Amino acid sequence: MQCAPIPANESERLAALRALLILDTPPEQRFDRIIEFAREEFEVPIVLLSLVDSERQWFKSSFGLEARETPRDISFCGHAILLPAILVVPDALLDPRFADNPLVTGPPHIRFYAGAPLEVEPGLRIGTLCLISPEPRSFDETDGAILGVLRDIVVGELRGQHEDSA
Amino acid sequence: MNAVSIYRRQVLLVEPHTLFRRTLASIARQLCDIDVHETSSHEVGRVILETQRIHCLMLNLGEDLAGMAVLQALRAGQTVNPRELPTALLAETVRPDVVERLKALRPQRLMLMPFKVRTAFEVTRGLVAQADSPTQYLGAI
Repeated sequence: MQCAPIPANESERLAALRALLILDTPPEQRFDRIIEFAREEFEVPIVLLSLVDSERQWFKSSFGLEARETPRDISFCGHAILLPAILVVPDALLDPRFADNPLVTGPPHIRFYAGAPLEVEPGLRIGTLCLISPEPRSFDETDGAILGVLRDIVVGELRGQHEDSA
Repeated sequence: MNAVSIYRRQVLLVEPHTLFRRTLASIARQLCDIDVHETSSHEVGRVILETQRIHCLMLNLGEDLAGMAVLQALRAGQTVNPRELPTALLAETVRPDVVERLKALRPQRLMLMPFKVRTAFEVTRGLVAQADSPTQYLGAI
Protein backbone atom coordinates (compact mmCIF):
# COMPACT_ATOMS: atom_id res chain seq x y z
CA MET A 1 0.00 0.00 0.00
CA GLN A 2 1.16 3.50 -0.79
CA CYS A 3 0.52 5.83 2.14
CA ALA A 4 -1.10 9.14 1.28
CA PRO A 5 1.82 11.46 0.44
CA ILE A 6 2.22 14.82 2.17
CA PRO A 7 1.87 17.79 -0.23
CA ALA A 8 4.78 20.19 -0.53
CA ASN A 9 2.60 23.05 0.69
CA GLU A 10 1.32 21.12 3.73
CA SER A 11 1.75 23.91 6.29
CA GLU A 12 -0.10 26.46 4.12
CA ARG A 13 -2.74 23.84 3.34
CA LEU A 14 -3.36 23.08 7.01
CA ALA A 15 -3.44 26.79 7.82
CA ALA A 16 -6.13 27.30 5.17
CA LEU A 17 -8.13 24.37 6.55
CA ARG A 18 -7.94 25.54 10.15
CA ALA A 19 -8.76 29.14 9.21
CA LEU A 20 -12.19 27.90 8.17
CA LEU A 21 -12.92 26.93 11.81
CA ILE A 22 -14.93 23.97 10.57
CA LEU A 23 -13.09 20.94 11.98
CA ASP A 24 -15.11 19.02 14.60
CA THR A 25 -18.17 21.22 14.15
CA PRO A 26 -21.67 19.69 14.02
CA PRO A 27 -23.35 18.62 10.77
CA GLU A 28 -24.94 21.41 8.75
CA GLN A 29 -27.86 21.17 6.36
CA ARG A 30 -26.10 23.26 3.70
CA PHE A 31 -23.54 20.47 3.29
CA ASP A 32 -25.83 17.53 4.07
CA ARG A 33 -28.21 18.44 1.24
CA ILE A 34 -25.33 18.35 -1.27
CA ILE A 35 -24.23 14.95 0.05
CA GLU A 36 -27.79 13.63 -0.26
CA PHE A 37 -28.11 15.06 -3.77
CA ALA A 38 -24.86 13.33 -4.80
CA ARG A 39 -25.99 10.03 -3.28
CA GLU A 40 -29.22 10.09 -5.28
CA GLU A 41 -27.54 11.22 -8.47
CA PHE A 42 -24.74 8.65 -8.45
CA GLU A 43 -26.52 5.86 -6.55
CA VAL A 44 -23.49 5.03 -4.43
CA PRO A 45 -23.78 3.80 -0.84
CA ILE A 46 -21.19 6.19 0.60
CA VAL A 47 -20.71 9.92 -0.02
CA LEU A 48 -18.34 12.01 2.08
CA LEU A 49 -17.34 15.60 2.56
CA SER A 50 -13.87 14.81 3.84
CA LEU A 51 -11.43 17.31 5.30
CA VAL A 52 -7.80 16.14 5.41
CA ASP A 53 -6.25 17.18 8.72
CA SER A 54 -2.63 16.55 9.72
CA GLU A 55 -3.15 12.98 10.96
CA ARG A 56 -6.74 12.16 10.01
CA GLN A 57 -9.48 12.75 7.52
CA TRP A 58 -12.57 14.08 9.26
CA PHE A 59 -16.04 14.04 7.73
CA LYS A 60 -18.01 17.25 7.92
CA SER A 61 -20.89 15.48 6.23
CA SER A 62 -21.35 11.85 5.33
CA PHE A 63 -23.80 9.28 4.14
CA GLY A 64 -23.34 5.56 4.52
CA LEU A 65 -20.39 5.57 6.92
CA GLU A 66 -20.67 5.54 10.71
CA ALA A 67 -17.07 6.62 11.36
CA ARG A 68 -16.53 10.36 11.77
CA GLU A 69 -12.85 10.11 10.87
CA THR A 70 -10.19 7.69 9.67
CA PRO A 71 -6.39 7.85 9.70
CA ARG A 72 -4.92 10.04 6.98
CA ASP A 73 -2.20 7.61 5.92
CA ILE A 74 -4.72 5.04 4.67
CA SER A 75 -7.14 7.59 3.22
CA PHE A 76 -7.96 7.79 -0.47
CA CYS A 77 -8.69 11.49 -0.02
CA GLY A 78 -5.11 12.04 1.10
CA HIS A 79 -4.14 11.02 -2.44
CA ALA A 80 -6.92 13.01 -4.08
CA ILE A 81 -5.74 16.35 -2.65
CA LEU A 82 -2.38 16.04 -4.40
CA LEU A 83 -3.78 17.11 -7.79
CA PRO A 84 -6.52 19.52 -8.88
CA ALA A 85 -8.29 16.94 -11.07
CA ILE A 86 -10.85 14.45 -9.78
CA LEU A 87 -9.15 11.23 -8.63
CA VAL A 88 -11.01 8.23 -10.04
CA VAL A 89 -10.21 4.69 -8.94
CA PRO A 90 -12.54 2.43 -10.94
CA ASP A 91 -11.42 -0.71 -9.09
CA ALA A 92 -9.15 -0.40 -6.07
CA LEU A 93 -8.18 -4.07 -6.23
CA LEU A 94 -6.52 -3.38 -9.58
CA ASP A 95 -4.68 -0.27 -8.37
CA PRO A 96 -1.32 -0.96 -6.66
CA ARG A 97 -1.71 2.19 -4.57
CA PHE A 98 -4.81 0.82 -2.89
CA ALA A 99 -5.11 -2.94 -3.48
CA ASP A 100 -3.92 -3.87 0.03
CA ASN A 101 -5.28 -0.77 1.76
CA PRO A 102 -7.17 -1.79 4.94
CA LEU A 103 -10.19 0.21 3.71
CA VAL A 104 -10.18 -2.08 0.66
CA THR A 105 -9.36 -5.39 2.31
CA GLY A 106 -11.67 -4.63 5.26
CA PRO A 107 -14.74 -2.50 5.91
CA PRO A 108 -16.05 -0.55 4.06
CA HIS A 109 -14.42 -2.70 1.35
CA ILE A 110 -13.84 0.16 -1.08
CA ARG A 111 -13.65 -0.84 -4.73
CA PHE A 112 -14.73 2.37 -6.47
CA TYR A 113 -13.63 5.84 -5.43
CA ALA A 114 -14.05 9.26 -7.06
CA GLY A 115 -12.86 12.29 -5.12
CA ALA A 116 -13.12 15.92 -6.25
CA PRO A 117 -10.57 18.04 -4.37
CA LEU A 118 -11.77 21.12 -2.48
CA GLU A 119 -9.44 23.94 -3.49
CA VAL A 120 -10.26 26.89 -1.25
CA GLU A 121 -7.28 28.97 -2.41
CA PRO A 122 -5.04 28.43 -5.44
CA GLY A 123 -3.08 25.22 -4.83
CA LEU A 124 -4.52 24.66 -1.35
CA ARG A 125 -6.73 21.58 -1.40
CA ILE A 126 -8.16 20.86 2.03
CA GLY A 127 -10.27 17.77 1.35
CA THR A 128 -12.67 16.22 -1.09
CA LEU A 129 -16.24 15.57 -2.01
CA CYS A 130 -16.04 11.88 -2.71
CA LEU A 131 -18.11 8.91 -3.85
CA ILE A 132 -17.40 5.38 -2.64
CA SER A 133 -18.82 2.02 -3.60
CA PRO A 134 -17.99 -1.58 -2.67
CA GLU A 135 -18.51 -2.42 -6.34
CA PRO A 136 -16.19 -1.37 -9.18
CA ARG A 137 -17.76 1.03 -11.63
CA SER A 138 -16.99 3.38 -14.48
CA PHE A 139 -17.02 7.15 -14.28
CA ASP A 140 -17.54 9.11 -17.48
CA GLU A 141 -17.26 12.74 -18.57
CA THR A 142 -20.80 13.58 -17.47
CA ASP A 143 -20.22 12.01 -14.05
CA GLY A 144 -17.08 14.10 -13.69
CA ALA A 145 -18.88 17.29 -14.70
CA ILE A 146 -21.69 16.68 -12.21
CA LEU A 147 -19.33 15.85 -9.34
CA GLY A 148 -17.22 18.89 -10.25
CA VAL A 149 -20.21 21.22 -10.06
CA LEU A 150 -21.27 19.81 -6.69
CA ARG A 151 -17.69 20.22 -5.48
CA ASP A 152 -17.72 23.85 -6.63
CA ILE A 153 -20.90 24.43 -4.63
CA VAL A 154 -19.25 22.92 -1.53
CA VAL A 155 -16.22 25.17 -2.00
CA GLY A 156 -18.53 28.18 -2.34
CA GLU A 157 -20.18 27.25 0.93
CA LEU A 158 -16.83 26.83 2.64
CA ARG A 159 -15.87 30.30 1.44
CA GLY A 160 -19.12 31.69 2.79
CA GLN A 161 -20.78 32.17 -0.58
CA HIS A 162 -24.11 30.66 0.38
CA GLU A 163 -26.65 29.31 -2.08
CA ASP A 164 -30.31 29.49 -1.18
CA SER A 165 -31.55 26.23 0.27
CA ALA A 166 -34.17 25.32 -2.34
CA MET B 1 -25.93 26.57 -42.98
CA ASN B 2 -29.12 27.87 -41.44
CA ALA B 3 -29.41 31.36 -40.08
CA VAL B 4 -29.24 30.50 -36.40
CA SER B 5 -26.40 27.95 -36.43
CA ILE B 6 -23.64 30.58 -36.26
CA TYR B 7 -24.77 31.50 -32.76
CA ARG B 8 -24.29 29.58 -29.54
CA ARG B 9 -27.42 27.68 -28.69
CA GLN B 10 -29.59 29.34 -26.07
CA VAL B 11 -31.44 27.20 -23.55
CA LEU B 12 -33.96 28.55 -21.05
CA LEU B 13 -34.14 26.52 -17.84
CA VAL B 14 -37.01 27.34 -15.48
CA GLU B 15 -36.48 25.24 -12.37
CA PRO B 16 -37.16 26.18 -8.73
CA HIS B 17 -34.74 23.70 -7.12
CA THR B 18 -31.45 25.56 -6.85
CA LEU B 19 -29.08 22.61 -6.57
CA PHE B 20 -30.67 20.77 -9.47
CA ARG B 21 -30.90 23.89 -11.65
CA ARG B 22 -27.36 25.01 -11.03
CA THR B 23 -25.91 21.56 -11.61
CA LEU B 24 -27.82 20.99 -14.83
CA ALA B 25 -27.03 24.46 -16.16
CA SER B 26 -23.34 24.13 -15.35
CA ILE B 27 -22.79 20.75 -16.98
CA ALA B 28 -24.79 21.80 -20.05
CA ARG B 29 -22.52 24.82 -20.44
CA GLN B 30 -19.41 22.70 -19.93
CA LEU B 31 -20.27 19.76 -22.13
CA CYS B 32 -22.50 21.22 -24.85
CA ASP B 33 -21.00 24.66 -25.42
CA ILE B 34 -24.38 26.31 -25.03
CA ASP B 35 -25.70 29.33 -23.14
CA VAL B 36 -28.15 28.49 -20.39
CA HIS B 37 -30.48 31.16 -19.06
CA GLU B 38 -31.61 29.89 -15.67
CA THR B 39 -34.35 31.13 -13.41
CA SER B 40 -36.46 29.76 -10.58
CA SER B 41 -39.41 31.98 -11.53
CA HIS B 42 -42.14 31.31 -14.08
CA GLU B 43 -42.70 35.06 -14.37
CA VAL B 44 -39.08 35.68 -15.21
CA GLY B 45 -39.10 32.72 -17.60
CA ARG B 46 -42.06 34.17 -19.44
CA VAL B 47 -40.37 37.58 -19.72
CA ILE B 48 -37.28 35.92 -21.19
CA LEU B 49 -39.45 34.11 -23.75
CA GLU B 50 -41.13 37.40 -24.61
CA THR B 51 -37.89 39.29 -25.12
CA GLN B 52 -35.10 36.89 -26.13
CA ARG B 53 -34.67 34.31 -28.85
CA ILE B 54 -33.86 30.90 -27.43
CA HIS B 55 -33.51 27.47 -29.02
CA CYS B 56 -35.15 25.20 -26.46
CA LEU B 57 -36.94 25.25 -23.16
CA MET B 58 -36.67 23.11 -20.02
CA LEU B 59 -39.68 24.04 -17.89
CA ASN B 60 -40.61 22.83 -14.42
CA LEU B 61 -44.39 23.04 -14.18
CA GLY B 62 -44.31 23.83 -10.45
CA GLU B 63 -46.55 22.49 -7.70
CA ASP B 64 -49.47 24.65 -8.83
CA LEU B 65 -48.81 23.94 -12.53
CA ALA B 66 -48.07 27.64 -13.05
CA GLY B 67 -45.61 26.63 -15.72
CA MET B 68 -48.46 25.53 -17.93
CA ALA B 69 -49.39 29.17 -18.54
CA VAL B 70 -45.86 29.83 -19.75
CA LEU B 71 -46.10 27.02 -22.28
CA GLN B 72 -49.59 28.11 -23.33
CA ALA B 73 -48.26 31.60 -24.05
CA LEU B 74 -45.42 30.14 -26.09
CA ARG B 75 -47.67 27.88 -28.13
CA ALA B 76 -50.14 30.72 -28.65
CA GLY B 77 -47.43 32.81 -30.28
CA GLN B 78 -47.33 35.38 -27.49
CA THR B 79 -43.54 35.45 -27.33
CA VAL B 80 -40.74 36.29 -29.74
CA ASN B 81 -39.96 32.59 -30.10
CA PRO B 82 -41.35 29.97 -32.50
CA ARG B 83 -44.61 28.44 -31.35
CA GLU B 84 -43.10 24.97 -31.72
CA LEU B 85 -39.97 25.68 -29.72
CA PRO B 86 -38.58 22.32 -28.53
CA THR B 87 -39.72 21.97 -24.91
CA ALA B 88 -39.35 19.46 -22.10
CA LEU B 89 -41.57 19.62 -19.03
CA LEU B 90 -40.46 18.64 -15.53
CA ALA B 91 -42.95 17.87 -12.79
CA GLU B 92 -43.31 16.25 -9.37
CA THR B 93 -46.53 14.46 -10.23
CA VAL B 94 -49.22 15.01 -12.83
CA ARG B 95 -52.81 13.74 -12.72
CA PRO B 96 -54.02 11.82 -15.79
CA ASP B 97 -56.44 14.60 -16.79
CA VAL B 98 -53.61 17.12 -16.63
CA VAL B 99 -51.46 14.88 -18.80
CA GLU B 100 -54.09 15.15 -21.52
CA ARG B 101 -54.04 18.95 -21.25
CA LEU B 102 -50.27 18.91 -21.43
CA LYS B 103 -50.26 16.72 -24.53
CA ALA B 104 -52.33 19.38 -26.27
CA LEU B 105 -49.43 21.77 -25.69
CA ARG B 106 -47.08 19.46 -27.63
CA PRO B 107 -44.08 19.08 -25.30
CA GLN B 108 -41.26 16.89 -26.61
CA ARG B 109 -40.82 15.26 -23.19
CA LEU B 110 -42.60 15.07 -19.86
CA MET B 111 -40.22 14.10 -17.06
CA LEU B 112 -41.69 13.07 -13.71
CA MET B 113 -39.53 13.25 -10.61
CA PRO B 114 -37.42 11.73 -9.31
CA PHE B 115 -34.95 11.74 -12.16
CA LYS B 116 -31.25 12.38 -12.33
CA VAL B 117 -29.40 15.44 -13.51
CA ARG B 118 -27.75 13.13 -16.04
CA THR B 119 -31.16 12.27 -17.50
CA ALA B 120 -32.22 15.91 -17.68
CA PHE B 121 -28.92 16.75 -19.31
CA GLU B 122 -29.43 14.10 -21.99
CA VAL B 123 -32.91 15.47 -22.65
CA THR B 124 -31.47 18.99 -22.90
CA ARG B 125 -28.89 17.77 -25.37
CA GLY B 126 -31.64 16.12 -27.38
CA LEU B 127 -33.66 19.33 -27.49
CA VAL B 128 -30.62 21.27 -28.66
CA ALA B 129 -30.06 18.70 -31.40
CA GLN B 130 -33.68 19.07 -32.43
CA ALA B 131 -33.28 22.84 -32.54
CA ASP B 132 -30.28 22.29 -34.82
CA SER B 133 -32.43 20.39 -37.30
CA PRO B 134 -33.65 22.85 -39.97
CA THR B 135 -36.53 20.62 -40.96
CA GLN B 136 -37.84 20.34 -37.44
CA TYR B 137 -36.95 23.75 -36.13
CA LEU B 138 -36.84 26.44 -38.79
CA GLY B 139 -39.86 24.96 -40.46
CA ALA B 140 -41.81 25.54 -37.27
CA ILE B 141 -41.09 29.26 -36.96
